[in-house]
Order: sequence, then structure tokens, then C-alpha cells
Amino acid sequence: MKVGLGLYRHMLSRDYYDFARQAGCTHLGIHLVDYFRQGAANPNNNQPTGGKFGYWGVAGDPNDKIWTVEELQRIRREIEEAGLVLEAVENLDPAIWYDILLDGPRRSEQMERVKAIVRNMGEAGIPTLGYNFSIAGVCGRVSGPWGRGGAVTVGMDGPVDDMPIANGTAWNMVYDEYSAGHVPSISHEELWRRFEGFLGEIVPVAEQAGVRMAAHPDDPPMPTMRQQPRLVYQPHMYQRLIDLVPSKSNALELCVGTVAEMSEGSVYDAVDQYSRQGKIAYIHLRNVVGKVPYYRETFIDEGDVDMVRILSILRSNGFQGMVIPDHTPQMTCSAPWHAGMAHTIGFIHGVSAMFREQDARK
Amino acid sequence: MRGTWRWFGPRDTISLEQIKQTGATGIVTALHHLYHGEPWPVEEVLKCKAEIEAHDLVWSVVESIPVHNSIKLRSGPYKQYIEWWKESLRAIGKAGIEIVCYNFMPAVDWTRTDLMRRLPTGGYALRFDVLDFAAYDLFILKRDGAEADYSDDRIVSARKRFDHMMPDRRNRLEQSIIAGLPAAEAAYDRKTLAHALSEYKTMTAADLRAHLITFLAEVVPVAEENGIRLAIHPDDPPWPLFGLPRIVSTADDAEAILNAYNTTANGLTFCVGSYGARADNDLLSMAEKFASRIYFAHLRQVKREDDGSFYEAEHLEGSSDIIGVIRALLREEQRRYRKDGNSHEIPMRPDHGHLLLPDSNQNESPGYSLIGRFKGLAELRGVIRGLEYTEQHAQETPLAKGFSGQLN
Repeated sequence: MKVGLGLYRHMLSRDYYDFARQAGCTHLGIHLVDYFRQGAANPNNNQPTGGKFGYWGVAGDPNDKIWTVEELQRIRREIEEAGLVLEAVENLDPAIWYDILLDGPRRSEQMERVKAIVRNMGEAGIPTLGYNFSIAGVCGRVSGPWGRGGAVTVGMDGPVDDMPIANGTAWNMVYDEYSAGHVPSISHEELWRRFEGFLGEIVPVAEQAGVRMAAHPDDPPMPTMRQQPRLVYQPHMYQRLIDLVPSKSNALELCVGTVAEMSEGSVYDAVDQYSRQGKIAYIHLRNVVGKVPYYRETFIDEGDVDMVRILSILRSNGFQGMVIPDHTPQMTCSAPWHAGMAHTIGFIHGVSAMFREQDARK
Repeated sequence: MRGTWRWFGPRDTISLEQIKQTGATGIVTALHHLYHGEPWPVEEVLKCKAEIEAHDLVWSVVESIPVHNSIKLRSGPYKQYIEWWKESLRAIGKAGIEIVCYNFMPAVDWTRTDLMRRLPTGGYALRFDVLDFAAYDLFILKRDGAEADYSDDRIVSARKRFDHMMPDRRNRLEQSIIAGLPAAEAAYDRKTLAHALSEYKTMTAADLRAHLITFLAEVVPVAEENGIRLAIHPDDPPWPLFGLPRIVSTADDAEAILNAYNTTANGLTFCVGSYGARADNDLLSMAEKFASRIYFAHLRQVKREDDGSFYEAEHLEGSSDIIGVIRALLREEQRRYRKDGNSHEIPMRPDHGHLLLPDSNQNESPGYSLIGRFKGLAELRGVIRGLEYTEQHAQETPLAKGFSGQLN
């Protein structure tokens, strides 16, 4: 198991790479989409939320070159110079693929763009692309001082289907501010049809490029959000995703917190089932209290999930991929993100050190 | 084990609110504003306790009631200071706090030569360098008779080190050694240090040990009456400095102290970092041997270097078997629990965290960073949770054990 850190777009600099090493990481998963751009209710010192009914930032990067081989290689080189390995890029810009999600007129053009990005990643030697095939995206969440010691944290306070998605918005980011009206609702089967089309086209390209496509489950894992269906909102739905296109390049970005929020199944069984199949490209580790539609994110060492049991299952199944901290509550200090990350990584290291010591005693 | 956090009182840059957020449930503190041997009024102790409890935390350990130099010297107004120490104990007992950590280091307490040792990852750690220390003692402080305390080789090497030291480095070295680290019981300048050392000039280890034992004879019964367990902290570093004896440095030292008063109220603070700075201390066997008299644990580690120097490593990555120590302490807690069903917990705290990048913006005291210690606490908690989990599961399913054995 590799211990990594996830960095947002605005954190792609030497200071943050050094911090990753100080915290004890060897690998990085990075975001190339700036979720925070022009998002008024979306300060960038924490995970993006946008509030219960709002959106994150504006999609579409002014620096469109970021997805070129040269830029990807430059970023990879800077990360390696800091003594780390770039293991994954997480998420596509909604501006790049909204019509793939919405089955709009620019779908095939956007499909070609995504294929080109996957090929670029392969050429730049980045082995994993995390993605989240979701129309509403990560949305509908609220935050408040509900964490341990009054730390501000994020959670869900009931369904948000009253609020449809404005046209020009996908994946909780705005790609066209001048649209009117709302995105029409579709059925779950229509969503799976769109997804199957995407996966069928992208996996062969990813195979050729030596890249693993790694699917994030829907967060929050509700059957619908903002009147749109969700793809993977129960643990067993990941199996359907896997079986659609059997390939090493069709893999998972398994988020323990999200799976724990699901109303059915067991997070331990899910981690066992998918790690046993070798289908997990990398893992987001987060703890949580409650399930949808009422839950709160917690620090790693509290909450409903026994993280030692999760890590023990991964170890038993020989998981070799990367584990990164997911969101954490925000300690009341000038560097809450750093505090939460250092704490999560420290906990993972503690458990791992204990496992290593047990092995050495055998 | 109860996770605790050292808090330096209302003046600490880290608040009780933040400490609550770390997941620590216990506080380790002292009346830092009354810190020079005067008695602690019970109202002050209760006031501090109330402030801690208002944050849904408990005051687990008093660290420390300083032991005035006159007590260690057994001269001057030492009787008065012992009375005051007992008075503080009674106040602490009235407040219902059960564990008191203290130390018995002559003149200087915990000592480092470098408070900002840059690590390969860019963080900063505390370090003790034997040559820097000798260079200071021999060529900056120019202590009378210092040459007698070092080998000829070491004097030559220390001279070379001193000659290559820029003036600013010499100043920083002096500041590091004598100006008083956080929670140090005294801060000196060169003149007052020389004076303090001269007071101990003729003292042998046997003298100092005798002074400790006679001190214990007075305070252990008071601790007992007040439901307090005393927990002596080892010397840091655990060897003589400035030619002064240190007597809480080894397994034999600890054993002698425990045997002097073989009673529950006379126990140890098990500081893995302090005892672990000596290669001849086997921390695991010490933890096992003294388990029933260990009341408090400092779970930090040092990495020893060949010449006796050391730096403060990550909590899980030093020279000692810290996981073995934690396992021994967890088993001791289980033993206590089976025996009487309560007061089984051993408070532990992370200690001297590294200064990580975001910490350096926050003006923290050396060793007492927020994020570095938060990480240390999480590492220790990971180990503890992991040990608890595997011990539970080792007992229940031989099948599962065989299965994981196969995969390994």
C-alpha cells in the first residue's frame, strides 16, 4: 500500500509537495480542475462545497494547455524533483465533458477530447485518471461546527431534489453562465446507457495508453440529487460498473466515506469484494457518522467506520495501490487543511507500522 | 490509553478548543504562572481544572510541580520548599487529580543543542549533539575543571567544532542550551548558570540519590494520603551534563527509586525519548519490568547517532521498540482493569512534534508544534487501535489467522 496525498489545483507547488513528504507521503493524487474559481461561497482552504443549493466555481480553465503532454510532464517532473511519485490525476473539467454527461450535441467532439487527454496522460507517464460520471456532481451538502471540539465539518441534511440543475451547469460547476431553464430529469437506465457509451469508448483508449480509469462513487450517494439519477449509490452498483467492460483499465477510485454513507450493504464487504478482484486503483480514506440523507464527515479516528478493519482487509487482499486522505473536519487554526491531512496520514502510518511490526514478529 | 496533550495554560498559543479537536481527552498541565517552588493554592488548581472541564476535557496529569534546587542540594531554605511541595500535592489531591509528574535533574533540565535541525523532508526537529555540547562547556562557558569530564579525543574534536563555529552559531548554541526550553524550570545567562553549577560542585551521584530518597520519604506519604501517584520523569538526556550527576537515567536508577519506597504512590513517567537516548536502556524490557509502576507515558522517540548524539525522530521511527512498549502498556492496563476494574488507564501524550511547514507560520515553542504533535498523536492512536484490533481478532478466529498467514 502506498500512502499519498491529494492536492487541489491551487496547491500544485513546492510548498505543498514538501508538506506531503513531511507528513510522510510518497505519492500524490492531484486535481487539475480549479473547483474554486469565481465560486463566491466556496473558499479554497477546504474541500469545495458551494452550500446546499449553490454550485462550486466556474468550469473551463483559462490555461487550457494544462492537459497537454508538455504540461503534464512538467507537473510530473516538478513532483518527482520534490521526491514524490505522481500516481493519479483526479477529475475531468466539466467544461471538457459536459455533453458526454448530458448527451448533448457536442458529445462526440468532447469524447475525442477526453480520449486525447487519456493518451496524453499515458505519454506523460501518469498511470491513473480518477473520474466521477455524475450529472449533479458532489452537491447538496451543508457545513457547520459539528465536528469534534466544534471543528467545522461537512454533511448532509436531507434530500435536495426540490432544486433542479440550471442549464449551463454540470457536475456542480458552471460551464455556461448565460443559459436559461433547467436540465431535464432522466431515468437511471438512461444514465447507465450514457455511461456505457462513455466507458466502451474510453477503456480501449486507456488500455492502449496504459492508464487506469478509476470511478468515484456518487457523493452523496443518493438515488437522485437535484432531480438527476446517480450512477453508483449502493455498494453493489460498483460491480455492475466493473462488469460492463472487463479490463484492467476499468477500475475504481473507492471512497470509503462515500460507501459508508450508502443506505445498503457494508463498507467492509465492499472494500473486501473490490480489493479482492484487484479492481481498486486507489482509495479515499474518510470517516463519517450517519448515512444519507443525514450524515456528517468526521476525523479519521472517530466515526462509524473502523479504519483498522478497512486497512486490515486491504492488507489481507494484498492491495498495492495508493491510499489518500479524503476530506476532514477543519481544526480551528490557520492551516486546517494541513492539520487534517497530517492527522489522517499519521493515523494510517500508525496502523501500518503496527501491521509491519506484527509481520516482523511472525 | 488515554490520549493527552500538554497545555501550557491560558498563555499557550494552542487553545483548549484546538486540543479538543485533536481527539485528546486529557490535559497535562501545571500552574505555569506559579512555577518557582511556591505552593499552589487549591483555588488556583480548581480554577484551572474548571477551565479544562469547561472544554469537556479532564486534567489527567500534573506536569510538573518543579522541585526547587535547594531540595536537590538539601541546603538553604529546602525545608520550606518541601513543605510548599507537599502543600501543592494536597491542593492537587483536593482537586481530584491523581498523577503528578516531576523530575530531579540538578541545575539544568531538558537540554538540546539545536532547536531547528532541518530534516531531509524540510521539517525541523530538536537535536542534541555531544560535540556541540562539549564545545559549549569547554570553550564558551569555560567551566572550571570541565576537561576532566571529557576524553582527550572528545576535547580535540570539540575544539575543532568550536573553531569552525561562526559567532552567530555560538550564540544560538548558548541560547539553545541555557535560555530555557518550553517548560524548563529555570533559564540562565552564562553568569547565573556558572553560579548554579558551582552550587553542585562537590556533589556525587550518591549524594543526589540520597537527597531524592529523603525527599521521597517526605512527599510519598503525603501523596498516598491524597490519592496521588507520583511519577518521576527521567533525565533528558540521561547522562551527566556539566559534570553534574544525573540519577534517573537507567533501568537500575529506576529500580533503585521504586525500591526505595515500594508503594503505589511512588512510580515512574515512562518517557521513551529520554530513556531511549541511551543505547544501554532496553525500553521494551524496562516497560515490561516496571509496568505496574508506570503511571504516565511520553511516547516520543529519538534516533541515536554513533557518537552519542541524537535527534528527535518521528514518533514511530526512532531507535526504540515503541510499538512493543505500547503493547506492554496496553497489557498492563488490562491487568489493572482485571484487578480492580478502575484507574487502569495510563495517560500518554505525544511529545516534541516536528515543526512542519504550516507550523512554522504559527510561532510555536520548540517541540510544541500544533500540527506536528497532532500528527504524532494520530500515529500513536493508529498503533493503539491497531494493537487492540489484532489482539481481539487473534483470539477469536484461528481460521482468519491462518488465512492471513498464507497471504504473507
